[in-house]
Amino acid sequence: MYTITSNKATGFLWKTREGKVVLFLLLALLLLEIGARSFEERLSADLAHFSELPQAADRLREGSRDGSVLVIGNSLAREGIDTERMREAFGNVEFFHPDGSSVVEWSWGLRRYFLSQGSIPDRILVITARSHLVDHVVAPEKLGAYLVGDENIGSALESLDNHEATARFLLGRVSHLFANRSRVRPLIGYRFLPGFEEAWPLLASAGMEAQLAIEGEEALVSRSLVALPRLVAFAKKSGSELIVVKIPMVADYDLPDDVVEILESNEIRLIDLSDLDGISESSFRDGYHLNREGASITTKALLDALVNTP
Amino acid sequence: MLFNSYTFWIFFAVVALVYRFLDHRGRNHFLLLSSYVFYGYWDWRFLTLIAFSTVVDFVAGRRIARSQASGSLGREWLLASLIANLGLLAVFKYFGFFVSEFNTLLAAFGWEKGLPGVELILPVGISFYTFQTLSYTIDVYQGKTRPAQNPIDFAVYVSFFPQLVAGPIERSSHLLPQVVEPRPKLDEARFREGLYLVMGGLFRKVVIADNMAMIANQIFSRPTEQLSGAEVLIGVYAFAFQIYGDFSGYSSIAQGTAKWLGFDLMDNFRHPYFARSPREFWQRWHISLSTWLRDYLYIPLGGNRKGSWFTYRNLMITMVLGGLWHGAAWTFVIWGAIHGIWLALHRGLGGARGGSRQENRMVDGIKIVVTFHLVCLTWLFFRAENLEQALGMLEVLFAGPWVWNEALTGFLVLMGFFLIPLLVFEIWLERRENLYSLNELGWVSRGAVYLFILLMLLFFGAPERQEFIYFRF
Repeated sequence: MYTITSNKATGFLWKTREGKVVLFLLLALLLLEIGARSFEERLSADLAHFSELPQAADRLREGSRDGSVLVIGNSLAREGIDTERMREAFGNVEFFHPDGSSVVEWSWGLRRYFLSQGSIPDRILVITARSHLVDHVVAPEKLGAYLVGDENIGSALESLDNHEATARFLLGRVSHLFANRSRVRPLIGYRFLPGFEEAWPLLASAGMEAQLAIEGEEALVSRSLVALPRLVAFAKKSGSELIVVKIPMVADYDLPDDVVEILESNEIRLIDLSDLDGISESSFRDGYHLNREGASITTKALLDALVNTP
Repeated sequence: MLFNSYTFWIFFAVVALVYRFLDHRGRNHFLLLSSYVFYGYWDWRFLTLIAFSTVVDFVAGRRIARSQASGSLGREWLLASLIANLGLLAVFKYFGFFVSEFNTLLAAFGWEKGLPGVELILPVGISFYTFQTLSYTIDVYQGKTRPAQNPIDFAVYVSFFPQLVAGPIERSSHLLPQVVEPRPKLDEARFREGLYLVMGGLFRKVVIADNMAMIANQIFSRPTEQLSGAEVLIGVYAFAFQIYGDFSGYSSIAQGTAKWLGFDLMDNFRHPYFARSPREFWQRWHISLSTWLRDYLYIPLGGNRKGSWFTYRNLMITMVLGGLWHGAAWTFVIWGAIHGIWLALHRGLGGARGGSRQENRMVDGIKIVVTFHLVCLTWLFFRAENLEQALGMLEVLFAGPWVWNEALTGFLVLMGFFLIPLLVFEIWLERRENLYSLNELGWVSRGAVYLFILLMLLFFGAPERQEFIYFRF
């Protein structure tokens, strides 16, 4: 049998200089957290977008449901789809496009900001490139902070596949400072570091390629088909038509076979804009996002597809 | 369970909390359980290997002592320990490599069939704990340490989780008594030192190593013919700081967490890139391995006692085997061989007699820069995927083309952004000749430094978390 030792050292920390160091750090973090929560909307257009989503949901709900559209995507959709032309064509159109998001964020965000608020569009357009319908690009802290509603915390935690993701989700839930930590590097880099604009995309893409090289396309797909069926189920339950749109990229691409299989088995319409006439390398402002002209061509093609085959 | 993962810190918090309320025997039992959970988290099957190594060396140590008490040497038990430990390494680490090389040789003579290869997963940290247990039986054999009396204590010595998978490789004479005897309480001084080591280690791993890894990986993953000399140079610099941050960061976190549990582990790094000679580099880099190789390989081979040529031979053997310890690949062998040649040359030119005395700042500065670049040259072989890539990059480095572009400016600026705070801090420590100088400052200064580290960890950790490089060894 082990004995329990009396612990005379308990409490030493708070009476010592090292205790002051720890308290100083905690206090500094608390102040930064308060600062982050107070000013986050001013610091990032993306966070401002999150704060505007309740109003967008209200507009969607209060407008006519007939022909209403919710466009979901990320920065590819934000820059690749012409908002004004969409509004001219459909009237009641809203957008949900957090930066760096993919189907995981879309499914929970759709549920939290729109469906659970009774804001149910006629059609949901999901704008994707090759890998955005598989859920490997997960930022659990962002899910915790902004995308999962209180009623879905349990399901969201169950869907995370490891302890790391769970810890990050929970940290994001309690700390917006933590949830937004990845925004600071580009914020400082693009403003203050010479050459960052050229270097950072190379470094970021090398990281993703290395991950793909290590894990292989098959591993990527086999572990990442949880969120898409969830998104499909949410849309079906609400009675909205889900339409998947392949956005143009510099190089041609196909969606992973497993993704196509899910779309086909659920009779989800796929609009393929990945190979449009008039789109070339010069249609991209940074090799990834469409420029204004590229967005105009893409939006026209999307409208043609939606209007010609309603 | 990586030190730079949230999972580890949750695990450690639970361990430290429970540990605090147990008596000495209970702590050792609990440490053993925790260490096995820590190791089994990677792959529970490898627990059998560590248990095997523990049992063999515990029995061997006691048998050697018993044999020596009755007048014989107990050499057969030492041999059994050597065969068991080196056998594990041979099977899991080198078998595939030697079979593949042998088959290549056979193919050169037209025999295509070759030997059947076996794909074995390399158990994490096997090179570290086998060297640690080997040192125990050798020390018992040489009468430098007493055999462990309690199997649990010995098992904790072998598997102590903070240093289990990547060192420092602790000697039984240093670590085992700390396991056996009651350990000091976690008082303010111990907490302070632990905090310093953990914060410094996390900074070097998460901020320095992982960010340098992004740059090094971007360059080393590209075909050689697409690279310019400037890119190769930046890639090698980035890798030099990646591996330093990675490994010294790991060692520092190991020391810090051990410190909080009442253990004192050895310093494994002492600002190696401020070394002024190859000899001094190895007195500052991976000290636990370099002293292990010195004591259990170089000196038994004869060291420097049998004249110059034997000394050079011994240096070469030691460094080539040291290279092979890192991995079963020709690039590691060449890495070790270059270090061996370089140490021999330095010795031959009388460098060993000069010791590490300081000269004027200018001369010291030049020596530091030259030594650093020679070390970088060897890192190129260490990091390259294969010999072909290493030679190709070496050719580009020396023969060009040399082209500069904006992305390279960005790489260089990013390197400066991360490395300048580290280097300034290390220069300050180096001048004070005390690795723990920060602990002598007031709490406000420490708080400011830790806040900087915390913010860098929070905002500038690399997006892709990298595994510790030395786990592969």
